[in-house]
Amino acid sequence: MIFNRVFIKPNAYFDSVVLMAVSRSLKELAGVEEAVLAMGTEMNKELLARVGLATAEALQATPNDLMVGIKANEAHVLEEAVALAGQKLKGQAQETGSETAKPRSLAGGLMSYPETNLVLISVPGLYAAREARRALEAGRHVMLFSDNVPLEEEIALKDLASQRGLLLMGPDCGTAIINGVPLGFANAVRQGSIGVVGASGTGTQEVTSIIHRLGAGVSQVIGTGGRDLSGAVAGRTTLAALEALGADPATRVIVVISKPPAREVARRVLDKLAGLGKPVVVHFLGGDQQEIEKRGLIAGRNLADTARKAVSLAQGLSIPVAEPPVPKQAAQREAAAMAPFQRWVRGLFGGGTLCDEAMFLLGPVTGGIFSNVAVDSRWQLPDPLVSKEHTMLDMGDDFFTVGRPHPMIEPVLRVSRLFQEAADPEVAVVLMDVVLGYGSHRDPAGVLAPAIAEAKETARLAGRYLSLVVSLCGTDQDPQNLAEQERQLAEAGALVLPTNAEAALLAAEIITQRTGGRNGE
Amino acid sequence: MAVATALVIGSDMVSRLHRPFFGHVHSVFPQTINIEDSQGDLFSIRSTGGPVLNSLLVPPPGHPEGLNGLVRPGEAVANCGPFLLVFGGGQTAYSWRGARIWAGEEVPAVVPNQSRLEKNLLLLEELLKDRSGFGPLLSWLSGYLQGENRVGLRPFTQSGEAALPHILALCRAWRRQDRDSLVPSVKGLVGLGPGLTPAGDDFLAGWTAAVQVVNRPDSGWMELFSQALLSHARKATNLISYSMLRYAVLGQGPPGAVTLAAALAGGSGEDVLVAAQEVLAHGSTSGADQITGIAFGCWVAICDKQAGAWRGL
Repeated sequence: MIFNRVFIKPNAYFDSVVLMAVSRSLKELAGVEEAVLAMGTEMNKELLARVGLATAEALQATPNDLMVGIKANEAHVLEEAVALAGQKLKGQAQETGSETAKPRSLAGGLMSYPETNLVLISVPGLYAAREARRALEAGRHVMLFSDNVPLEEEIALKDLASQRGLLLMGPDCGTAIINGVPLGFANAVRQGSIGVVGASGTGTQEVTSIIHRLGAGVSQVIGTGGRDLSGAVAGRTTLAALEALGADPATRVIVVISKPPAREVARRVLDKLAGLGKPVVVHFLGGDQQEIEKRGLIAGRNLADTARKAVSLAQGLSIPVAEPPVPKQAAQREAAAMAPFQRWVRGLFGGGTLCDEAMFLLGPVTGGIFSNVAVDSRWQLPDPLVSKEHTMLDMGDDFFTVGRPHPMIEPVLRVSRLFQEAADPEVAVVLMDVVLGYGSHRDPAGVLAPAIAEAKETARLAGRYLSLVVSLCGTDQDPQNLAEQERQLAEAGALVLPTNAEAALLAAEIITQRTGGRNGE
Repeated sequence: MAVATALVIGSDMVSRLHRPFFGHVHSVFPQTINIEDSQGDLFSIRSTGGPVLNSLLVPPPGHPEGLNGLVRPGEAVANCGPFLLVFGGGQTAYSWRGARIWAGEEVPAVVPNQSRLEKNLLLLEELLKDRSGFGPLLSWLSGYLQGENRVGLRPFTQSGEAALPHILALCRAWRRQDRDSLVPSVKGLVGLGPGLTPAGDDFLAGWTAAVQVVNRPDSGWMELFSQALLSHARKATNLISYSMLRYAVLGQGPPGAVTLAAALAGGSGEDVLVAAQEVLAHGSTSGADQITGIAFGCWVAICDKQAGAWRGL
């Protein structure tokens, strides 16, 4: 018996060498009797017909489409050949840059890839809601990367998604990993049993990277957008995501990460979590842990602690209680090398959540911290371009990024500020984050390490010692090469810590050793 | 934004670039970016040789992949002032001011000679006998000229077998200047066979180059042929292939085609082999198919006026 198949690649242009090579590979498969790769012209359809490949698919082809026709003597051989052809052509498209013409609209994309069940939308906020609505109406889940979507639009979209049984992640959702596919800014994290719902991008990256480094993996990572747990949006996406993870057999442990939600929303989310019947770790950045624990849920003290607890639950181990010890000797050495007038810590962050976390961890040790993203208006930095006493800067904030790339994409934006801080004789520690993964700069350490070395040298020539503490967020499978990034930073003289919490606590310890604690009192 | 400076600009591109236009990247290959303008015409940015008439030739950007990765299909293109701008992930500007203008391949002097053609065809037959596409059809032509009828002989390729009746019909129509049989013979070849540019199109591009170099027919007949070819090709083959045919009709056939046609019609064996290598370098099957078209085109053009050369056709 003969088994036939013709499949079409619309608007696909591969040079003849590629077509010939693919054809040859197919014909080398035992059981393949015919393999034809040709453009979908009428004459070629006639040729296909002559070898018994005049299928309905072939008749649909246009002269700008590639037809792949295969005849095999067994069904499984045909399937194998079809898969091989698809794989070879995909590989060639990646190698040569030739590929199916990129759709220029959502409708075109859905037409070209009808099997798609999720649409990632990244267009200016003005148009984002319209595109998201179209995608939802077409029955697709949505990741809305765009920001500046009006609040009322966000609520309407989330209600529409709910009516359709779909998930709308965002707006301003920068990180997700769905079915193992990293979307937006995300790290290469192995698949596993921990489901993560995150209202913060870099917070989610930090937690998922640590989960990977501890040997566990994630089932799904669902971003909600920063406003989801506000009183107005009322956790619409978070609740839908929890419902989905609760029903997902691959998810055995659930993690929720967010800034403190509105009180009523927090209650609803925690009630929902308590009813899921799965182990849950919750970290509301700077929030009240008791509210979480009194429902029998586990509270993470910080992002790293949240990841550690989730991994322990996933691996059936006891919940860790202690934090990793702060390297006091290293802190002592750093502090001892400084001049007496050096006393301030300056944080230059690319990740907003990492900046927030550093403030929450440092604050109790150092006292008040100025910031361009301060929660308490008393500590709002009057001029984000000039640091004051202890300062933590979220350099991914709109103030720094209007008309420029985000510092995770272009690390050089932090270099001039680093030099500025290094020139301030009262600065003792500069705290920085380096976030790896898809979407981030391909070699952030390659940009920052020489600047760190130069900043330290500037201080040395001025008779000071500048301490550089860097947290490195990423995994050994990220495209940037984690070990090489760490090596470059360490060789430049930075103290490189594996988590943001450890880096912040080390910075706090150095300041304590240097000044005795709260604002040098 | 990356800026690449073109070294050479095709004469057709010069007039095109002196008016603003918008378009998009149609397709991308390691050494070629094809751009489709709003009129549906295709032109190219190339990093190596190739027909320059509708192209900017720019130096490779310093890595072995040539232009690969600079732009992607679907990205917007605009021409403004001295720059051709491609908007995408890595915005790229192609500066064309100061580029040398290329007016076309130099046409060598041709002294057609049938016996030399027959000898040279034997060389090409040997060169193409194991090729896919239309290449093996040269053995039919060579055999025919030696008094054999090889129509029934194997192995012809499947597409070659399908093409041969149309090729012979085209030869007959050409010899007799028969308008009625010209159109169906052209239609039978356009879009036929393997390759990004189907073998039939490559054959016709080679044919068109050859008949214009060797005993160019009168302008009325050439005009009729061009119209028949292009009006059908516009809808019956893909845009890349159509563009190749369009420029072939304008006298800019595949690179090396003109030189090979001249060598085949009256040059030495060495001239033929050198020129054939240049044509063979096009794609995987395209070069052989173009050579086949050049060979048949030369034969028809030379034998046009010679009684007795058309046994049975």
